[in-house]
Amino acid sequence: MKPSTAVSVPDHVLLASFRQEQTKEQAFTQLMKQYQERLYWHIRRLVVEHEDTNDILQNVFLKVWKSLADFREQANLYTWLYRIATNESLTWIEQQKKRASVSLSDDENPVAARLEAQKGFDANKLEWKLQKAIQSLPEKQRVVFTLRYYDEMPYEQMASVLETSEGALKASYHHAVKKVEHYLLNL
Amino acid sequence: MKQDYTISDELRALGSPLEAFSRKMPFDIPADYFAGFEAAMHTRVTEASLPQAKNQEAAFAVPEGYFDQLPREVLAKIDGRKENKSKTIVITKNWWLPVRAAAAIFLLLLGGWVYRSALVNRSFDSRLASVPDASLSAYVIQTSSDLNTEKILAGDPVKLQVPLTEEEITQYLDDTGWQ
Repeated sequence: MKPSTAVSVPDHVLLASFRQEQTKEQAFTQLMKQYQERLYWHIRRLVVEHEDTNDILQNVFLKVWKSLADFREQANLYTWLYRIATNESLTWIEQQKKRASVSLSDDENPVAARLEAQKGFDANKLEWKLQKAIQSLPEKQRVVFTLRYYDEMPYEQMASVLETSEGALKASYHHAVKKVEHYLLNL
Repeated sequence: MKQDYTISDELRALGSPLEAFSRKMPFDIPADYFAGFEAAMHTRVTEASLPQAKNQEAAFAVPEGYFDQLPREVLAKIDGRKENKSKTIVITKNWWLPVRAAAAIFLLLLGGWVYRSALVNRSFDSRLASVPDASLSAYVIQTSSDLNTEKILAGDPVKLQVPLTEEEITQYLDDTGWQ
C-alpha cells in the first residue's frame, strides 16, 4: 500500500514550506498526498469501517495542520504522523468498546460484526479469514502486527511510534504471528 | 542487522505460513476517495482556521446595512422618548405601594395591641385564680362597707359600693405577694 504520488518531497522541505505563510497550504496538500494512503490503510486495518476511517483520518490531518508548525525536526515526520494516527484509532476503539459494553450483550463481538458487514465479505476466503484472525488480537498487539506485517515498518521506527522498546515489540509481533496462525488453523 | 531483511524473510525465519499469504487488503474503498479527500480536508482546515468571531458571523446572518442604520435608529428612539416625556404625564401604578405599606403597618400594630391585651388578661385571670378564697373574702370585707354575708354564702353576686378596677386588684395582689 504505497502512496500513489509520483513526486515525493523530502520531509524537511515540506516542513520548511509549511512554516512559510505563502507556501503553507501547498506544503500541507503535498504532505497529504504523500501520507494519506498509508495512514488511511493503517487506520482502516484497526477500525475496519471506511466511514470511521475517514473520520479518524480527517481528525489526524486536522491535528497535523494545527501542530505541524511546532513539530520538532529531530523527530521523524513519518513516525510522528503514524503516532497520531495510532493514538486516534486506539482512542476511537476505546470509545466504541465503552459504548458496546453498555448496549451489547456479552456474546456479541462488534469488531467481528463490522468485518462481516464489509462489502464482498466471504468467510471462506483466506484474505477474510486472515482479517478475522487479526481482529481477534488485542488492540495494541494488532497495531504491532499490522505495522510490521503490512507497513513493513522497521522495529526502530515502531519503537518511536509506540514508545516501546524494540525487544518488547519483537516479542509482541512474534507472539501475534503465532496467535494468528493458531486462529487460522482452528477456524 | 541486514539492510534487506524484509517481512517475508522474517516470517520465513519464524517458519510461519503467513509468509505465503497475500497481503492485499480485501476491504472495499469508494472510487476516487483519495482524490476527493484533499478537497474535503481543505474545507475542514479552512473552517478550523477561522477565528471564533468569524464563525459566529457566518452562523447568524445580519440584515444588510443593519449596523449602518443602527446608530440612527437608536438616536431616533432616544429623541422620541424625550418628546413623549415633555408632552404627557405618566401615571404609574406605583402609588399603590405606599398605601399598601401603610395598611400593612397598621395591621401589624393592631395585631400587636390585640396580642398584648390578650396576654395581660390571661395573666390577670391566672393570677386571680391562684388566690385562695379566704384571701379574697378578707379583701372584699376590707373594701366593702355594705356586705351581706348571707348573700355571699348563697352565691349571690356581691355588689360593691366602690367598684374595683383591674389595676387595683392587681396592685393588691402584688402587695400581698400573690403574684
